[in-house]
Amino acid sequence: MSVLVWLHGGSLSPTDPALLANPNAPAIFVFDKPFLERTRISFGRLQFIFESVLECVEAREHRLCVGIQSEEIIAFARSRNCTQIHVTFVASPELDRTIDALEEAGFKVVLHHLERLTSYSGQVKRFSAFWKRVETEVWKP
Amino acid sequence: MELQTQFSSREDMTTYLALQLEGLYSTEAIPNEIRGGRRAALEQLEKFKAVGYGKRNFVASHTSRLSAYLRHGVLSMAEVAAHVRKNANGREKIEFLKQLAWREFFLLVLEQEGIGVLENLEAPKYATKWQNDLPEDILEARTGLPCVDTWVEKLIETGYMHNHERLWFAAYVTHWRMTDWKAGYDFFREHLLDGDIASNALSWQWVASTFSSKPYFMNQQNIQKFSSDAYCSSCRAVCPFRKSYPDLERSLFGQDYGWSS
Ligand SMILES: Cc1cc2nc3c(=O)[nH]c(=O)nc-3n(C[C@H](O)[C@H](O)[C@H](O)COP(=O)(O)OP(=O)(O)OC[C@H]3O[C@@H](n4cnc5c(N)ncnc54)[C@H](O)[C@@H]3O)c2cc1C
Repeated sequence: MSVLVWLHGGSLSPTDPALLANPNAPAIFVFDKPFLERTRISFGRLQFIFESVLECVEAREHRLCVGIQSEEIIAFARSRNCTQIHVTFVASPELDRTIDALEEAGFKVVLHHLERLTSYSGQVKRFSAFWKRVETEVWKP
Repeated sequence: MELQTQFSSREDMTTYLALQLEGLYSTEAIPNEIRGGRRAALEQLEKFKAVGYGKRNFVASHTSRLSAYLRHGVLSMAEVAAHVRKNANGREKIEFLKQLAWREFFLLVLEQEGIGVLENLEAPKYATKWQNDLPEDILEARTGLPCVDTWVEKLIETGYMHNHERLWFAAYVTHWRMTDWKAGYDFFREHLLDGDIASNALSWQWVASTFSSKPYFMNQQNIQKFSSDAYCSSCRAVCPFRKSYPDLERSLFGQDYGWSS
């Protein structure tokens, strides 16, 4: 089994959990053309993302590109004989769509998680009630 | 199309990226003041000791400016919290950790509600008919209100806006200009380096009253105080904010929520 790490706009640290779990795996980042064509985004945002990606891939094999996100990931994974794609999860419709496309193409997608601030996992409605539940843990974990 | 990753300078990188991504961004290709990347993030984190954070509601105060790094996973909330627990004290430490917890809260709401956060989570708490699009004069920073126009200009120039200015701007757009918060959300997503789904959509909903028990609004005195009188003394515009809270409540919402100055 060989792994490809997929980086996206919510996972741009060299200490990203998916990268750390796979120190020797190649990594890919795609500026998703269809998304950028239908969404107004400033140049500054794209530059911030690009600068962050550059540091993530300094010491490993990588592909940074512009294209259709799922297609680019699939093509790069196949070219490197990767069967698993590791990614750090963030709640986002674009991420969900790409994960679906990767699974449909036969890849196993393994999700990693960013370290959170609290261990709270109940329902949430208003901040004040949430804060009462978590404040002790936030001050002294 | 593959992108190169070696550059002789930041300027060189900016020129290259502007060309490769042509047609995929909405603004001029001007480099950011806030740099991306883990090294810049750690430098910013190291400098921040939450000194004066108790005055964070003043626009001139020193907040951390870590939001873009947190948004893009360049820093984790856990490591920022650990740094502040170690390096800050007393009320400042507590205030900061509480603000950070807002981010966690909004992310949990997003996980719970999914993409539903992009629609009204609750009915607005006042009778309103919001228009869909952000008025042109706001987008172009020519409302004639020096405060509002400056917030917009600074946002477009720097990719950042102080939290209190975000609140004021969102209230102006939603309540005074009767515009759907989703248009404001889109505008912030376009320009804020920290623009995300959870904090952005849910803060707009909090102001609009579709994720809170009453609408958020401010008056001129509040802007004057917390902007350290950046605009008001020299302002010659007819100020829509220059009223008491009870008067504004009546004129904007037709009811009394009991907000006080
Ligand atoms: C209408 C509106 C839209 C907003 N959109 C976004 C957005 O798209 N992305 C975003 O990260 N924040 C958003 N915020 C929240 C807040 O304004 C910014 O996080 C904060 O101004 C960032 O500056 P800072 O890093 O100096 O904050 P600091 O005061 O130093 O706070 C430290 C960190 O805690 C978090 N935080 C602080 N205050 C809040 C808050 N009220 N809500 C959520 N998280 C908070 C941020 O991650 C921030 O970096 C929005 C607020 C409003 C009113």
